[in-house]
Amino acid sequence: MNPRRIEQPTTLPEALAVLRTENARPMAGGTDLMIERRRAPFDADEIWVALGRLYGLRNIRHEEGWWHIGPLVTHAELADHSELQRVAPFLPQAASLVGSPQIRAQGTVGGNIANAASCADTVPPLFALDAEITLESAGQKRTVSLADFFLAPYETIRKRDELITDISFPDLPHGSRTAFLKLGRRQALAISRLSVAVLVTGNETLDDVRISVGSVLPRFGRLSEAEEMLKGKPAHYDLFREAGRAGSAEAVRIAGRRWSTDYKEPVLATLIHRGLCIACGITWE
Amino acid sequence: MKLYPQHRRVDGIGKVTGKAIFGADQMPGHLLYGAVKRAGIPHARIVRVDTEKARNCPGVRAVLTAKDIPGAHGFGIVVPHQRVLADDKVRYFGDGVAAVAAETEEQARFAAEQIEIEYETLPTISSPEEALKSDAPLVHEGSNLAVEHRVRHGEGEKPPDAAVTLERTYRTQHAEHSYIEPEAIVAWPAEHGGIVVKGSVQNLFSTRRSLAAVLDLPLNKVQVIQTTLGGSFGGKDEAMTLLSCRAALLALATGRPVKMVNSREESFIESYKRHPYRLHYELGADKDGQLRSMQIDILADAGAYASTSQFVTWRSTVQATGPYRVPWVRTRVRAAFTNNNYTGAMRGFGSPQVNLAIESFMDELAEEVGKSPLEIRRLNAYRDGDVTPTGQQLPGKVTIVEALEAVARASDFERKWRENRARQKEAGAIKRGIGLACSYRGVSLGAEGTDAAGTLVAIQTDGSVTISSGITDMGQGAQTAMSAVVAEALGISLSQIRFLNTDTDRVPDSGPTVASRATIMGGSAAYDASIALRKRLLEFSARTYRGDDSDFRLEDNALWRCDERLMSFHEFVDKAFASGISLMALGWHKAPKTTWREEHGQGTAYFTYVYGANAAEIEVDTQTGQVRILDVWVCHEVGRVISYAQACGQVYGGVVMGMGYGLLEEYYQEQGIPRIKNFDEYTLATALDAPNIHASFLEHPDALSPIGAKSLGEPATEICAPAVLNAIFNATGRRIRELPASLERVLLGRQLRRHGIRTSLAKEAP
Ligand SMILES: Cc1cc2nc3c(=O)[nH]c(=O)nc-3n(C[C@H](O)[C@H](O)[C@H](O)COP(=O)(O)OP(=O)(O)OC[C@H]3O[C@@H](n4cnc5c(N)ncnc54)[C@H](O)[C@@H]3O)c2cc1C
Repeated sequence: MNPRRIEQPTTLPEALAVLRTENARPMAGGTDLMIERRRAPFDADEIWVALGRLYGLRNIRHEEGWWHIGPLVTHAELADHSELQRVAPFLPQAASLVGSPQIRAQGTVGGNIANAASCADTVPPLFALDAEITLESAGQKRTVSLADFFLAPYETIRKRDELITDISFPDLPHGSRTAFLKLGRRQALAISRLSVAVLVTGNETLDDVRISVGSVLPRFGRLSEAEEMLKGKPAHYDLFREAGRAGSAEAVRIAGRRWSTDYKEPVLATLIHRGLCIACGITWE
Repeated sequence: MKLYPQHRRVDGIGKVTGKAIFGADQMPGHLLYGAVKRAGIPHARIVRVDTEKARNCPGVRAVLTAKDIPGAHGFGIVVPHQRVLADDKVRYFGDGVAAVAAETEEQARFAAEQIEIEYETLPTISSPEEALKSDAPLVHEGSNLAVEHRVRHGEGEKPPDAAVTLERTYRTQHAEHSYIEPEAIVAWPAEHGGIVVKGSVQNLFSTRRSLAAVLDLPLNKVQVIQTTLGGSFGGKDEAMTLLSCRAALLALATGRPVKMVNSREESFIESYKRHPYRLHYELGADKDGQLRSMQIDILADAGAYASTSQFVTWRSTVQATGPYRVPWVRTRVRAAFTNNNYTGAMRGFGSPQVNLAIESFMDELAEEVGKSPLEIRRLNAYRDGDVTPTGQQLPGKVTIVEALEAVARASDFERKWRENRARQKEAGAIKRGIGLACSYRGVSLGAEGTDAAGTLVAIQTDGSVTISSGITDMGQGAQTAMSAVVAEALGISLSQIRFLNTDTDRVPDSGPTVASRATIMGGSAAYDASIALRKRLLEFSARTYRGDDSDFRLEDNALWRCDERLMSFHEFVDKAFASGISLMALGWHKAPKTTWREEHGQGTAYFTYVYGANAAEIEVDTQTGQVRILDVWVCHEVGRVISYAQACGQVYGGVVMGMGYGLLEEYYQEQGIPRIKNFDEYTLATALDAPNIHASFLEHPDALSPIGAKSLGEPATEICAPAVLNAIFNATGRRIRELPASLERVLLGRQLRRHGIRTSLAKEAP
């Protein structure tokens, strides 16, 4: 499991410089990296660039109408952020459902995104927030939307020497409400079988609806057909039920049928339905 | 004897402060590390093993194959055919073919991977049904039928006529013990020849016998010492024998200590599992639900080696009909060899499978005849003096109804059961359910084998005491239970006792620590030693301080004459020692006789029985298949509670383990290839999943046990799963007959399977 070398840069430029070395790989909390690396014990030429001392990448701030979350913010920190709990509760909530206290203390949002597992729990809410990712390498910097960032499960456009240095999203439209639902096999340390993030805006009628899902699509995304069928309509239990079915059908169309589809299809419909109800304050039972 | 309401575990402080020394913590000087080259395919003939490359790897000190074994190649409690290192064939994915010792763990593992093995692959047998087909390839010479037991009870070839008949099939899965500490051992050449092996061994004397045979050494040159064990649940028997033999061979080959520790993945693929069963049940009953007959046919997956299948399935045979009067019974239990992980002892030992079946089946009968689960059990449950299908009249008090009534009352079962049933058809996604299950269980080994144990109690001249026993502690608390018995008999406090980990050179062979026999056997032996010491000491006091033996007693860490405190225990034993009194005694307890006639499965299977019941209340999300267990009410009749806190501990752990078996856990192999190798997907219940558990005990001190106590470890885990499945039926009206009741089974009624392995790390853009 041991890499040949672990570097602990204290500044971003230093980190980006080391990352240019061949076989260098960023390590944030290590909760994905360490586990996967155990499977190939003698792939030991790697240099791990431990990001832990880049303290500047570990805060949450609000500036000019945008929220910025440093990639090294841990799930525990995100879950406990009282301001975000107020403005976009589904994001801290998703973070609070990651793994266990130990994993939340160690795992980071940046690692969650960079690793690009389709079950990553913070990604669906970030998707619904229209988040953007800033990638930096020595001498270069680019900002892309989350939609452009992911290619496939465990595949992103991030180049080997690029670091995620910022995760940002604009202020939510006035009157937005959110919901996040995670379905796992147990109450803690559960890999999401399915997750759904919902953001709705509007009073009498739904002005904006965003639904994004985890653990179903080959690349993260939103369910635009279900979103569209709700816009401009008043919130209603039955309508949401229909939207759930439509959203689930859309997801299956995108993903194709797999071994798990017989289960996920009806349950995704349920979760979308419930997510919409919860966001709009309608009892779903 | 008086009851100790609460006490601290004698091994507790060491464990919670990190001072306990587990197998992998051992760090003797000059240590080498061992690693194993495993088959990685389920079934093949070995054509050639090339170790050349491995020998030349950096740091390597020895590379061994079966050819280098001086004694027996195989071991096994029933059939000694499990190879220390495979010679002719590999029979499952986890079989070891060669072992390496090197200066570092990485070097050893690397070198092991360099061993080249040429195989002639053979067809894989992936289920016992396949194994028993007439044209099936053989796993071992002879036959794939590993075991067959029968019970024949009641006259006539055909079952008596019955108004109601019912026929059902249930299935259970492979389950992993999931001890928190994977297998670990250090072996080193002994001072005067022979070998010392120290590590996480459960059954030291069976491991020692195998070591002696494999190394071709007399038993007195093989010393097996136990380190503090991080759990076992029946799992550190053959799995540890295997590791011990390999480490010992490497140690003798190199003349240096060799350490071997399985990674979690190695532990998953190599270690034995709980037997999956297919259970076919047929019954005949009166129209009110009174049982008339039962025909049971069970097929178990023995996996690649015989292990303890013989005994596991035998217990199933005896207990298959549950704690119910059935006048006519025909039971057949078979196990077949396959190319899956071998299966063996695991907490419950053949009972959780049959309990799942019979307890579901009783509920299905209740449904059929329009009775409640409690009514059907009341009607059929054993009463005092009833005779089991093996022809044994139940000894002592039969408390199954008492236990059932206790959990039914505490959980308000009847009311909830009726209300939930009425709500099944109502709107709403979340449904409540409550379920009942009960069992009777034979205590200790029964007719499986010799049942005797020894415990050594040594009072020191300062009044402190050491205890050692052939019965081992694996985390279940045996040391505390035995200490409590000694403390009580000598009138001293628990804090004065130190319990020594078991060492085969220092204590008598006491058989394996299995079958919930630690308290009753080890504890009774401890009692035997303590009363011998007490007698000796009181005789001495009568002689010295004049009086009658009966005027003196030991209590509150002191010697008393009637109501007069004469002196402290410390002063007293010091005086006794000075007068030449021996302060050490070996206690020995032999269990009452059992008998068995295999042909018709008749006999006194176990010398006594315990009884217990669970009621589980749950919530089912009928739109996602999620089941939450809210409360479990538990009642066990255990003879006598030795330590209340520990008894509750057994119940809490047992229920959570049982719920994992019922809802979550499955070790899944696809064509002999393990698809689940770690705890990411082998989902144990976590603390957040654990329900409220309400434990209660019935005490009827058993005349057949010197300390009155019987068993609890296995009873505590064997009936939670059926109670939960019965509760799911109560909530939804749909019955699940296969374990685990996963999300998919609860929602769709069937399991879905992923092919291949889950990966979890990002690839980068080119
Ligand atoms: C027991 C357990 C339970 C878990 N449960 C959950 C769960 O419930 N939900 C969930 O979503 N996840 C879960 N995870 C997965 C994991 O904890 C999360 O994905 C976590 O957010 C990863 O963050 P990390 O900082 O540990 O990443 P690391 O392991 O350090 O890195 C992961 C990957 O991201 C790269 N990386 C990290 N930071 C950066 C950066 N700033 N820029 C570029 N690349 C970077 C690394 O090179 C690596 O490829 C669990 C893991 C474990 C071990």
